[in-house]
Amino acid sequence: MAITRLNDFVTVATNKWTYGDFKFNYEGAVNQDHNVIYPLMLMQPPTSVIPDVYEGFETYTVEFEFYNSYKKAAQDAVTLQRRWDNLQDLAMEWLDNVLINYSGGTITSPSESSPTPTQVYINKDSLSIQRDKEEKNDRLVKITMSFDMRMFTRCFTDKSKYPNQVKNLTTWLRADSGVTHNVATRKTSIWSDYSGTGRDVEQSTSSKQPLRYGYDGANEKAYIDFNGTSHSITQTIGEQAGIDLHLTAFAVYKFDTNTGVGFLMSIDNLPTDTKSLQLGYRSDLYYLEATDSDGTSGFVSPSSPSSGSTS
Amino acid sequence: MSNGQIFIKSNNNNFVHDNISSFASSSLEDASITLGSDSANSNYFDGGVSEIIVYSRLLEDGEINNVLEYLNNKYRIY
Repeated sequence: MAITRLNDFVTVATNKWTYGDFKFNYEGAVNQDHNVIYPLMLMQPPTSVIPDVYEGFETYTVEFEFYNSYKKAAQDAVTLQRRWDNLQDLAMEWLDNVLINYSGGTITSPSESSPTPTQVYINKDSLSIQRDKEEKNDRLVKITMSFDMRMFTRCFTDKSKYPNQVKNLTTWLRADSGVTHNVATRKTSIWSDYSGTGRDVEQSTSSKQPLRYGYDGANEKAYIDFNGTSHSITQTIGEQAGIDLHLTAFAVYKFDTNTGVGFLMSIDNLPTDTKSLQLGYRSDLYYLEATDSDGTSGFVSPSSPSSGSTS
Repeated sequence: MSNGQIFIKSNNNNFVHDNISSFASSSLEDASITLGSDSANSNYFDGGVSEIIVYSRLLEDGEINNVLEYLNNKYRIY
């Protein structure tokens, strides 16, 4: 698997530890259990430094502690040096497994159309193994392995590709930034516009406020959740799209249900004006609907995915 | 008459819609975007929205590709 988040590294690192018990915790978490859990790997929460440039490398600083490769009854029969060496072998074997897993993955570079190998490697100068004695009442042998791992990160995009580099941007709403919400309840009162035109969307009524999630959206990104019964949020400044209403709009979204009628995005002056441009679903169809002043409308559906037109 | 384009990306479903010719006046000029329902607060939407981008003109192909590349890089939609 390619690493896209720090948690991905934790997942693989733990999956590849098949030799005994595992803890994900801070240093010192090994205490009363040290007489019964063998071998044990303790992974401390890694830290990372995210680059601020396109195609930069994110650096993960990770530290593992490995305890005892022998069960308690066998410890006295094995020399201390042998216990250390075996534990180090386990650690190195585990590290190889982790690295093999990462080097086999692929990602698509933002600047290329074809996949390129994942660029993940350890800074060799950072790798260190420390043998510690007299741990936990002298009952454990511990090896501490620490290293820096560098990986290609897709967290950032070339600014030349940003939507605000294209002229006439009027609305740019990003669920991962500029969202004013209550952390405990997730209720969103303001979703700030990044277009520079000040077209924030707002909802002051608590019961109507959508919920902001920082994960589980497309590619594990943030999203604003609408419940289908009461949530909506509206621009404070109209689109002012020009007298001919030339618009180009992009939306990234997901449906939880698609029964009945639901509008993800609506540009209209209802009920005073029947004209509307609406994106949503109607009776299992995902569609874009345009309604004229005389009530006629047309829509297209992704069931004809290449293109469509209304009349 | 007017034209509009909407690029919809929903999981693996995507389509390009162009040449909406229904709008003949400026009645929508001041219309605000409402997310989650229509502006009359009916027809509620059940789902999640990660990003909305709107331009007040038709974009050229190269510009469209720029925006799509930005979105796909971020969300890996296709």
